[in-house]
Amino acid sequence: MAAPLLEIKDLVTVFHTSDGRLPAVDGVSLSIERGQTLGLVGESGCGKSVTAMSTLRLVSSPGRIESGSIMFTTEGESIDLVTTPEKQLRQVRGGRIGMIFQEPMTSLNPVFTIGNQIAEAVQLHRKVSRSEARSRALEMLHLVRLADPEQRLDAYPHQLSGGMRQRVMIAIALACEPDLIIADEPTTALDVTIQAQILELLDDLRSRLGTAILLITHDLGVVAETCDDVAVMYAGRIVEQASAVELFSRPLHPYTIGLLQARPNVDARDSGPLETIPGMVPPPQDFPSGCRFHPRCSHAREPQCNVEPPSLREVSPGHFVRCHFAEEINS
Amino acid sequence: MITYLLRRILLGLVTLVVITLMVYGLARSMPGNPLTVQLGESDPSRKLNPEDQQRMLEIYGLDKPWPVGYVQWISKVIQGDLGRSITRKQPVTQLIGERIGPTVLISGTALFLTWFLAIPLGLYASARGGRIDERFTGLVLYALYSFPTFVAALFLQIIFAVWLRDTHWELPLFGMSDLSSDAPFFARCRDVAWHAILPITCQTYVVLAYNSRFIKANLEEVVRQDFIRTARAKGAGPWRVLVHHAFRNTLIPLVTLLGLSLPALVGGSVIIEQIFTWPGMGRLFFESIRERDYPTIMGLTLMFSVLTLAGQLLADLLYSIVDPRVNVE
Amino acid sequence: MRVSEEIEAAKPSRGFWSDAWQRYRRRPIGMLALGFVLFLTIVAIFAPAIAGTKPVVCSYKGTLYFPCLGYFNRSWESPIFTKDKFRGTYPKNLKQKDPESWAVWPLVFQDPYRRVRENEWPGRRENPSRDEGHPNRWNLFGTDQYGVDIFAKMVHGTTIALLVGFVSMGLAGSIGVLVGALGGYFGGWVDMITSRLTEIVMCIPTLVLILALIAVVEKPTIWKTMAIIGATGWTGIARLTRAEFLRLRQTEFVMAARATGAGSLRIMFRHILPNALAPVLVPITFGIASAILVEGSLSFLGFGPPPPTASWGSVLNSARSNLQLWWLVVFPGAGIFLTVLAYNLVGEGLQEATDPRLREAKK
Repeated sequence: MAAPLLEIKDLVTVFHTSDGRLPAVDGVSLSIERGQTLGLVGESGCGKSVTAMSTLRLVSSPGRIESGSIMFTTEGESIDLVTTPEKQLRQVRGGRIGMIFQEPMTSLNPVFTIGNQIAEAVQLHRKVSRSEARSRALEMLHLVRLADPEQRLDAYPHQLSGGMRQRVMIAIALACEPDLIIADEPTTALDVTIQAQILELLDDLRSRLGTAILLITHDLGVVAETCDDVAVMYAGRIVEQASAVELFSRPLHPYTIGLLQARPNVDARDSGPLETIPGMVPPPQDFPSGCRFHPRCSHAREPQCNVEPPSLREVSPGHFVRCHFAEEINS
Repeated sequence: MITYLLRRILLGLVTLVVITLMVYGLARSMPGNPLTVQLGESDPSRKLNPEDQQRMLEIYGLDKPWPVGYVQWISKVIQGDLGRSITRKQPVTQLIGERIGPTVLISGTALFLTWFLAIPLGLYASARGGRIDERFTGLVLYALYSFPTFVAALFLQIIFAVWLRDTHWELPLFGMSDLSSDAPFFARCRDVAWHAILPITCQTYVVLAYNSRFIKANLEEVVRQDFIRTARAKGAGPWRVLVHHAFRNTLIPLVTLLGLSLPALVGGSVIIEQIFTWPGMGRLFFESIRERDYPTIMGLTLMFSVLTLAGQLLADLLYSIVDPRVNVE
Repeated sequence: MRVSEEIEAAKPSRGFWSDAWQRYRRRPIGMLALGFVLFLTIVAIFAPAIAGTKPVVCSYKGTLYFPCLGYFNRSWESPIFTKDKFRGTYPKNLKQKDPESWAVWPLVFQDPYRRVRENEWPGRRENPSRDEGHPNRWNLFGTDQYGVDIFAKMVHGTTIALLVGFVSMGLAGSIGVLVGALGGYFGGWVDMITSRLTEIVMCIPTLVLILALIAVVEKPTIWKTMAIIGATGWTGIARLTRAEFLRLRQTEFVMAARATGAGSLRIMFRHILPNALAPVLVPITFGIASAILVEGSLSFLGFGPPPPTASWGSVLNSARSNLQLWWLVVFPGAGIFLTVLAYNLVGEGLQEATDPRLREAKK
């Protein structure tokens, strides 16, 4: 079997602050196959964005990748993004892996035209003339279905709406036909109707261009609509991983179950009160001992859950869960 | 655009009238007048007798109350006449023309050096932010920023004119030139440059320290913004991120600073010109206040105020050029 | 009830300032600067007890006196010493006129206003003058061309430097906050007038304005100088206050206060000002530094308070015509420099400790 497009192994990213060493990402492993969409789900503060940033080594001081590997395989060649020299990494950033951020309002440079900013992405990775880069930018604007692309090419970001800006961000990310797009909460800051359009666009582009997507979101609805595989993250660790179909039909981890129950379901037959998970994601300086979810877990049992950290087990083919009592809870 | 400019200029004119009115009133309220201050201080025996003084005051139009004097002054200004200096017996325009060259020589060179050095220093400081060498230069710049010009000038004078006297490194203590006007041109240039070194140094270092810290602070703020992350995610190298993406954004506050330095370019520094007895505008201002030379005070005030207002307008216009989000209308 | 609770919640709690203090404490340089400012304050307050020729305390003819207070204010020195013809020299006169007397002397027996003569203090030679006035055992920082001790001048100059900073910035701060608050809060034509006024004062070169004002006040004293520095240095503070008020008057808690029927003045000074205080405090701290600089330059140009006021700038002024007496430059120069530096560092520390944007970034 060929190596997956991206394989993250035991990634540990820590922040060294006045509160000490804070492991925001604590031993995360993920893999994405070519052309697939992997959803990384979790509440805010669980480390999913840091995972995304770590992939392209964009975590800024005081954050640092402490250990682990990120193997990226393209055109039969594998490189470890954690150790590869900066110069080679820059070839990957924007060239082989594109990235989309949460805040379209502030993610574009206010003093350059959007045409300029897309063309820059092209010129950084391909030996093309200015006019070629510009026509490529125009092509990209057509591709992301921005209205009036010819005029918008010379517009400044402040002249566009949030949804339009996110389309521009996608155009930048896709400008060099990357193998993978990392989309960090691409729709969170947008209106619901625009959200759907952007997700549809991403999905459409994936099927047309064959680009794999790592979709980071806190919204399980988004995952259900677009993803092939799902990983659920909690307090710096993956707690459950399976195919989307499997995860939604047979969730095993109490946290996943909680997340699913916390979703408002429009066509639910029993319209009982919405369930919530009590408490909040603990910050890295207060990670509990044992299973990090146990203080919020209704199934937690002492002394196991608060002492012994559970490992990520494969309970059925392709379905991993980090819980001592996953089978019992679900039987 | 045109209406905007017209409105600004009209508003500026009103401001000018108020400023000159205030300064004129203030100047005329200073005790004494050009005749008493000038003659009385130098030699009490040459004090004018009251009748002569009265006659002289009438000649200069100083016998009437100051609001009348102001109206006379401003109506002449509208006709393009700044009047004649009372104590120096020459037209104010000519006086300013004589002094503007030496001042621009100092402040123009200083302004150039300041920006020429401050931009690389600011870029360097934010590229190496937090490291030992950057912290050290940062501390030195901070110290320089707090170092009073007049203390620095005295130190430089002691070092280069007293301690290093009769060595290779001796620099002239004050004045602009020791050579007579018939000396060869290049020798005179060299002599003036020699005299200008200390004043230029004094005028450069404070502004340099301020500007490079200003640039660094602005760069650090820009570097934290989301679009810098986008640029890095595109694959731009650190240098390109800093110069192309971040610095381009810091130009916005920088043009404001540049616009505000316009009056200082021509106005010069009272203190530096006074210490080094440099025959420039700042010194002229200082002396004209001491001599109660009203026409010169007013001429200089008018020039300063026009330049300040023009600098602000220029800054706003440049602002709309470097920041596409700003529209002057 | 609920609304007023909200107002209370929106005010910067004590937590804000103690948080700011926590952040400030983490900066060693800022703490060092703050320590230096405290040190200067102590020197300023106890100046007559550190250097002087008048006893700190003395018992004379059975009564206790504090003649050193005469350095702060002539009239605080008991008239009995004038009546008994002390003529400013205490050590000999005390012993001669009352053998029973005793006195506690300042740490350094030197005077900031006059030359100490031979044997004025038992066994002490006369202060050297001109080229002989190098720093020496008795004159730690040397003497000026007339033989007056520089150390004593420096110590007494500290009082003036700090007073200049506080008094002029107190005045500038009050004017600036008032003008800015009026413009920012009321907007409209009030804002038009106050903004114009600020702009006009900004357009006139500060030094020229100050020089003209000093010429206008007939008998310059140090207090008038301070008032003039304050009266010309408020523009920056006014602009900042205006911006803060413009921002804050739109916030929910001001709306809530208005809804409870609070008057304009009350809203401005009870509700908005405490919130605008941190950003306004920063330019005031920097302003103290610049006021000290301005006073220094004025004295240096010979426009400062008249002699015998011992300000650092006036010592520098006397150095201008005596460049070979380097100690006349080094010590007062260092004094002004370190004081200005310390205030700037405190200001910067304050800025970093209270600026919400910088704070977010540190997270």
